[in-house]
Amino acid sequence: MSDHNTPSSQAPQIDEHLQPILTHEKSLTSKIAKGSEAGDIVDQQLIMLGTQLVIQLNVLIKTSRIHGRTNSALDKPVDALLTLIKTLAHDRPVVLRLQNDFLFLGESHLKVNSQQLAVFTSIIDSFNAWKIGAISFSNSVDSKDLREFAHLFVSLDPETTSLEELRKELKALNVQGIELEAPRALRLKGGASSTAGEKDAAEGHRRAKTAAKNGYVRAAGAVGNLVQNAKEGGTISFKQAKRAIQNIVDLMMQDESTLLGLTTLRCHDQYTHNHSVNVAILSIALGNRAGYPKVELADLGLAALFHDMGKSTIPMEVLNKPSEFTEEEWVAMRNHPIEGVLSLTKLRGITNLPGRMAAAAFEHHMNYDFSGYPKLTVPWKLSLTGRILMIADCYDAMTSSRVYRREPLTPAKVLKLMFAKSGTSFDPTLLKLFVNCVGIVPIGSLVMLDTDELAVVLRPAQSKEYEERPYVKVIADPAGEPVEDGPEYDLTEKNEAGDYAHSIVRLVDNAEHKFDTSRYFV
Amino acid sequence: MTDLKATPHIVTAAAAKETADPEVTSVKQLLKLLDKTSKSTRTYGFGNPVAQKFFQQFYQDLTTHLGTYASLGFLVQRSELQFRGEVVYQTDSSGENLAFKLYADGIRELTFHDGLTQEDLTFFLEALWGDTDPSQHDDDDIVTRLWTKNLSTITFVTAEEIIKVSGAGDVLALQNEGAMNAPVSSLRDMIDKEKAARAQEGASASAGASRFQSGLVGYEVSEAELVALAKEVEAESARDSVTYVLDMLLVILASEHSPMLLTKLFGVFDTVLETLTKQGRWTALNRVLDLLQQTGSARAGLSDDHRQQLAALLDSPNKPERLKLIELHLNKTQQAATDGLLPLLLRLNARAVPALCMLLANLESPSHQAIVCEALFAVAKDTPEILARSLSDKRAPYVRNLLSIIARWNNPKLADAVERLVRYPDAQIRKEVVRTIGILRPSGNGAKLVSFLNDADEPVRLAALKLLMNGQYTAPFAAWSAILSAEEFHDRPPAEKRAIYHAVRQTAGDEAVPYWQSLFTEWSWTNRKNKEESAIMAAEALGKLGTPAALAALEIGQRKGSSAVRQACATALTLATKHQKARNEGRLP
Repeated sequence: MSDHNTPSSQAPQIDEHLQPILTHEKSLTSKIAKGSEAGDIVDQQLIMLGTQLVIQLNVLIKTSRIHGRTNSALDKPVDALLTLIKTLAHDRPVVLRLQNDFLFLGESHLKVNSQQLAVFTSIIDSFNAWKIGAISFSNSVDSKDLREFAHLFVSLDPETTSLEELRKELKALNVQGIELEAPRALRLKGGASSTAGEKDAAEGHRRAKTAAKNGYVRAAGAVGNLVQNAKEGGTISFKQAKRAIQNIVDLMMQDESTLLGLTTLRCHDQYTHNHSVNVAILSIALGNRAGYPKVELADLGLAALFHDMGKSTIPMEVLNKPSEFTEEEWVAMRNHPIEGVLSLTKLRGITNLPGRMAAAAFEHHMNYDFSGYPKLTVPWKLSLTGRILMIADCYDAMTSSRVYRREPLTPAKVLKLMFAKSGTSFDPTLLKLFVNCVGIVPIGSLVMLDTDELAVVLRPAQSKEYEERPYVKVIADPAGEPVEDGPEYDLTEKNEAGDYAHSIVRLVDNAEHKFDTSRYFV
Repeated sequence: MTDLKATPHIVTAAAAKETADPEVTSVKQLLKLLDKTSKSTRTYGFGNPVAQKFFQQFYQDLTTHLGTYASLGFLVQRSELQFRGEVVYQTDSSGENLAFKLYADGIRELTFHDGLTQEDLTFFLEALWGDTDPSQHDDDDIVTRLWTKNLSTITFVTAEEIIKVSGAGDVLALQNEGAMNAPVSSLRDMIDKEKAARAQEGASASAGASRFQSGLVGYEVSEAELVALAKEVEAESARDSVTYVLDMLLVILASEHSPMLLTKLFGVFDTVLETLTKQGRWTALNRVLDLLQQTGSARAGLSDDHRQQLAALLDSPNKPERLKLIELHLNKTQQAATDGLLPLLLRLNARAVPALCMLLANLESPSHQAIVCEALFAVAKDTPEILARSLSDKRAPYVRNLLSIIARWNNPKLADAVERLVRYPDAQIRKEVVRTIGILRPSGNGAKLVSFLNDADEPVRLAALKLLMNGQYTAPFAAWSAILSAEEFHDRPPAEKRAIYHAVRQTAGDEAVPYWQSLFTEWSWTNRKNKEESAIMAAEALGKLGTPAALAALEIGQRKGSSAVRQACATALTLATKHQKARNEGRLP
């Protein structure tokens, strides 16, 4: 390995009492949003429950073929189905969808094994017979609704009864909380079958954004699930997290700026663990510029996703504490890198733990000059992964808000602060690459243009020559009126006179105004 | 994703359509062959000639197809594959068929493209069935495995991708609460404030200066810096993860002061040692144990509890369950590496000897057994009785190994235990027992060896005779009499009988003279020829004995025996006289 700019710890001489201003500042310690526990019922558990839903629905339908709607034989399947629906449907209905022979719970594919195939086949065939694309059950559904629905489902003939007629029958019986949806038509990417709408660039962009958001949510879900498993002392499988990260890498290759824009999302409780996902996205973007091959970017992203695994042992109240930490709490916070390494080693086994993942957990608060934590008394060479994580973690933590005592800083301010620590807290080469990545006027920055319009930075300029002239989206006109879906300006564009058509005159401190720019990326 | 529009209804309609499309025919044949190829490689492994034959055939046909049509793509259903709306692969068998395998992991469409190499195809088949080692974490499916390979010649569309393009709603919605929840309507205030600030700045600065300047300079990355980073990426990818994580844990061990973390760390080390044992990483295991040992002496500030934890870790390889893990690994892993295994076993102490014996007993490979023998030779030297007790085990290879260790120890105290194996069911072992007795007790009482002369196996008897004839053993004639007087004695081959008489001569000496003398004059209605043969051999033995009592017996035989006996006795006497003379002249010892 090249020793270029790679520090080794030689019993660091840093005074432990001097807190660096960045991630190690007490008030800025990354209290990663762990969010509500309900949010932890994600992906894997959800899919398990989804499979149960299919099984119980099948039992109910089969039993209804034999017994009348009030027969006690229906009690058990109805109860089981109700329990599942109540568990899965909180503020929105639970949707069982059939798309091209695959069953989904909401947007999550329900995997099937050979033992479950017969049951899945039975449900898929029933859906196809009725030309049903999806059934949604809301939280308000009750025993009577399920019995009536099952009775109609098996007693009416789909050959002679349309889906619309079935809906009417359900309505006539006052069945609440069960909606039947026709199959969705696929909206294809291109080619002869494309619709006019899809040829529209805006629609394409919308879909790219949606894909990025889905990828983001899946990754957040996967990390939430694994952290939950770790808390409960179980083993952790990376399958879902891997697929989520691989998806993010693909999206990154297609549209880096949309994904980076999503990292402006700040601690919305229902999307827990978004700091981890943000750090993963930022790390992948930086790793991409550092020359990581595509496949290894996924390793890096996975490592970044679990860099804060050590926090799973810290109580939520501490992580979300709005006031200063006690000494004991602070010790717990400082211990989390080592806790992370220990948890991951224990849960995965040393032979199944990727080195990058261990490095990310261990080194992300260490600092380039070893002034951070944990403190080491023997020489240690910082890994590239660790140095990338230090930058990504600090950037996201400092631009975050919500649970921190201090207001978040604007991305531009954060970059400046980080630049001031180049070579001490951060690897100078990687930091330069990072600036190239998020832009010198970083994505998510709020700017005032010389036209007095207010705009949000969407992506950096294509050419380094114009680093201070990114792409922006206007969000308010000169009079301060919000602009719905405002124009996007490439600030490098010039007018007929050869002058720049639009220029930034000021960076606006959105934190000072308590204004979250992430709404323009979501 | 051009084929995604195919709905079941279209498929059904299209399936009914008569077609003679050569591409469809080719796809059908290829998928049939792919099915056979994947099944045979899964069942027999890639190296199998049958699997190879299918593989080569499929690759060849697929290459031809791709040369003609550029790609081969198909849609995946539960139990069938479709191409252009036609079913091109179908199976009634639920479960482990090609279509279901792809379907179960959420693959909707799979396409092979022109330029596909044999390596790509091999990887695809491996990805299809995945890692069959159940001990490995279930971290991958077909999708993640194919993605990792990043093949341009095999592309796929997943079920999740379909749902995304099918009009799925937005999954991410903002919450309208939190510290940064200022409404959009506040933009006017924001602009007013910013304008005011700008005006203030404008009053004190020129118009040009009011334009935004980041102030950040020097963020250009040089080519040299990029090259250095690329090298680091490469080095990081090539790094051995296990060694790296171990280094990390050892650095933590050397540096950490938190009692709570140290307690956890020692707990993790226990898991690590167990995992390394399970995986057969002997060298790494030795390294960790070495470093733990060094830490024990280097970290003076460790609490008593932590010292106990550390001691328990260092002692953990002695645990029977750990040795059981070694056994499982060695027996289950083909060509398991053994580098570092002996040094690891040599770390064990006497407490581990019973479990080590068990390991030796249960190992299947002779080369692995040899390593454990080597370890037992060193570790069990002070507790040899444990091995001695195990000699009664029914597993012959195990007992043979134990005997080899005992023979190497050459501890006479173990001779009694070895001699007890006179009736061990395995003849090879009985022969080894005789050999071992010869080592442990090279002289002295040969009575136990005499008992081997009743062994059913000739090589065992001959081995015992060889020892008894070497002149180092004594045995009272009483020990022999049962053998000599048995009816079966006369049925033994003449060479063996002769050898027995010589063994008797060497061990019992003159005590046997009366017996042999009795043979000269013995008369019998039965077995006369055999008895006469015995008398002749007795004459020979007496001649070699050459003592006065022997010579006296020969003279009696020369007078009273049958003609053949008389002749034999005369010959023996002549030879004895000659030998006596030669001895007197110092020509014979």
